Amino acid sequence: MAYVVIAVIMVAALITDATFLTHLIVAGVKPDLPLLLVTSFGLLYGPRTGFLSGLLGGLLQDLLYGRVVGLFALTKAVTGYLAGLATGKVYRENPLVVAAAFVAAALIHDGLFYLIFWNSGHQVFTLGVAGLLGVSMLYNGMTGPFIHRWVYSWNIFERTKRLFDRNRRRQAGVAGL
Amino acid sequence: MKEFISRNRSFILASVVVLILVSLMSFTARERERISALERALAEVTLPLVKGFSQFGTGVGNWAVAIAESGHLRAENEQLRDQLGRVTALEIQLRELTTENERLRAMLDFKASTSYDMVAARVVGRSPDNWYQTVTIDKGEADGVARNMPVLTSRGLIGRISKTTAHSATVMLLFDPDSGVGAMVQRTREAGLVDGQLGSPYLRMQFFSRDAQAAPGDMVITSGLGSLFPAGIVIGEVVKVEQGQYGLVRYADIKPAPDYGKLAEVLVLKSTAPTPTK
Repeated sequence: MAYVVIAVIMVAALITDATFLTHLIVAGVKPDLPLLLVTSFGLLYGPRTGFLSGLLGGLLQDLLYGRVVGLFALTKAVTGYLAGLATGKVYRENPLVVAAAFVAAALIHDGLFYLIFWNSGHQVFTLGVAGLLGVSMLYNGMTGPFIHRWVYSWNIFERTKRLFDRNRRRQAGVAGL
Repeated sequence: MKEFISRNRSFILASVVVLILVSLMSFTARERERISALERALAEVTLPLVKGFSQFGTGVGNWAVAIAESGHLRAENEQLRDQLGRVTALEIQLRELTTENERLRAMLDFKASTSYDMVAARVVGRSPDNWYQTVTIDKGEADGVARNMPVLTSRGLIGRISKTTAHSATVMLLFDPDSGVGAMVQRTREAGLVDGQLGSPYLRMQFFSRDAQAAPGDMVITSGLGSLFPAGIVIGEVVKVEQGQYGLVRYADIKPAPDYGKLAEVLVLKSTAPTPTK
């Protein structure tokens, strides 16, 4: 159930990125909202959730805006999984550590995408890519802690579970009558 | 064996998923004639949201700009820029038409016309990642838009349609590393291929001849080779010419004529052959 909610959030994040956030492009880069969410899910709930939310968000990105189906699913799932390995080590109380985790996530995600892209024989302007990567890391590191705080306070899994339990109790009550 | 599987269940499952994704990527890596039903459905379902978000974003963006600048000056500046762009494009087009006309008159006494069948569309979204260079427009198959149709603005060519659904379409911009258009330098008539490079702020033209004489400031236009794009549409201006490794190939960096950062309305060329005037 929680993953359905995550899917809806991911679609909203993708649309926001494709429309509203195009006004926040700095040096050709805008914040990767789905990546920030995947990193945050991984950091808070572990490698399994990081992997699955990355897989879900990436697959939706591939289907909605991508060209090669599976490319963003792979890069985001791997990033989510690796972010999950840092669960318990990154606390929201320390914004610098949280920011560093988001910088690392951007490096892993964009670096992996670049490697796959380069390996498939595309023309690449290495200096330009390095610049984009640098700005992307900086941008994600600056915006990530805010998203992380929101994901932490929203506590999606606990809320969905509570909602699910409440509905189940209500249904059981109706059946009992 | 059983114990090994149960102990490493998560890792094995993740590996299987990764393998599936890699095979999915190899299946979809080549340009597809049609997108899947799932992709089509997702695009259709989310289109109203995309339009709404886009309008809201544009509204907020304009509001912020209006605060930052004086509203009057901005409007005037925009108008003058647009006029200048149109005049430049017209001048280049005129020059191209004149030379073309002279050649054709001499050979065939042929009367050419530039009236193409076009449809205007609004840009409602951009690719959410920082790598692919695509925009979403609000016109699709229902409006006669089809794959590979050229897309331009009043200042020049910006790309071609790569994906369509009933009411929207994706435009692959010339900056996209997967794009490619037959081009030539207007002054020297030297032909080549223009495409995008991942991470570069310029388009790159690879000349067919290694002795190409193009120079900075030369205008680059479509050559009409390859049948996707009609000849004579402005692409951009040469900013740098260089010899490739080992001196076998000659390249030029092209600054595109349209402003890719401010794409709002575009024209889709429904037919690459001009409609004959009566």
